[in-house]
Amino acid sequence: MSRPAPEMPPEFEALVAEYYQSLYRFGFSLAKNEADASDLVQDTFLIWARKGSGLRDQSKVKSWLFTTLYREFLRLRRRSVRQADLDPEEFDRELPAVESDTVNQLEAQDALAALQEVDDIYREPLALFYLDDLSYKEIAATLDIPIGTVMSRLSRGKAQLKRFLERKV
Amino acid sequence: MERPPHSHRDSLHAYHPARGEPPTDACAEALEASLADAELRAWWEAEQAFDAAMRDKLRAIPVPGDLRGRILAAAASEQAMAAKVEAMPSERSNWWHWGALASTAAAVMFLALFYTFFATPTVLQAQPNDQLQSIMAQLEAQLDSGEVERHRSEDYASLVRHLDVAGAPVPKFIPAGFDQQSGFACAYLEVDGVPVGMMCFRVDDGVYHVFTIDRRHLPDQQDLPREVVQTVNDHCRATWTRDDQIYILVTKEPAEKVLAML
Repeated sequence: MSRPAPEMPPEFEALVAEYYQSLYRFGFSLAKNEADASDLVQDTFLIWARKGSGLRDQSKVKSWLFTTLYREFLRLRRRSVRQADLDPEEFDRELPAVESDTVNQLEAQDALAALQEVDDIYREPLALFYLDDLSYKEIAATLDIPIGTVMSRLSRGKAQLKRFLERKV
Repeated sequence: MERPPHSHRDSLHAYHPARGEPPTDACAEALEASLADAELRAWWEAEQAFDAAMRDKLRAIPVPGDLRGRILAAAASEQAMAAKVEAMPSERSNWWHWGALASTAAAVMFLALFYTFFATPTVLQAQPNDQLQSIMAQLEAQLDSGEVERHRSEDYASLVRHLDVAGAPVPKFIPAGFDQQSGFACAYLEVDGVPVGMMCFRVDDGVYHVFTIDRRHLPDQQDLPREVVQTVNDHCRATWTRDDQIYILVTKEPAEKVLAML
């Protein structure tokens, strides 16, 4: 069944143009595959078209989109959150010294693969931190966790990330 | 050499100076500490370089070239479909208000008893023909097999879109007892070469399946302006036609509940 699709308002098209790439990369970091990441981005904008356009505070659009994508991801896939109860100090003692030069030698896909190996609870704030440039307050709002938790998860997430990067070089 | 306090490192891990975000109190304290602590400062500088390198690499991840177009097309399609759904006549009426509840319940009980014990097919009331009866039996068998692959969503527009994209008939009318919020899944089925759209609703823990068939696929089926309610094995089914569609409601709930939904 096909019918001519009506055009969307220019504001919607501009919103898509501005955010679809960063949302896709965040979605990819969560879902780990192109098809699911694309679906997550598409669903996020469809939800925006239905509900989000009424958002009064336009400064919160970006945060709303990332939060919505994240919630969609959680809703579509029941997570088995493994609360890795690791001591960050213990991490750091064994932490390989991965320098920025090492990262520069990697392909983007290798860097992404390393990120995707990080435990979910640490990967989510890391992805928002690296891929989308969200502030720690925005990360806290998106993931619905306290700022202090953002900090500790970023710290632990980076520790895991460096371990996985070391294996790739 | 003494290691920098880990609380300072944790605070700095989340801080991205280039973003222009004011540091939290903990960050500010850590930054101040780094001025007096060469090791912490060196660690912080290396960390920023690492973050910048990771940021550059990860932002080089390619995005599908057609994604933007697909999003816009899907949004436009949904907009069109939402308009179509909104244009559907509402089956909800005022009798469902509290004031009329008692008399409605009495009427439902009467109808339930009537259908259960007294209603017999007569020449005055058209019945589902053999082809439709066969399709209904096969649909119920598929439900019982548990092998129906459903698309699940709490968003009714998404369910409608899924059926539409699959080429399945989309119900133009929703029985009065359901609303869009009670829809939770749908599926495209094909029985004897006839496309069937299935929409699943949940009301008070009861699950109801509404099957829709385009009448052009069963041209011999007479009009069923009144719902024909039957209990076959452990299924209760109601069948009726409206405009160019045939509707079949199937559930394992009792007949009186089915009647209350219609």
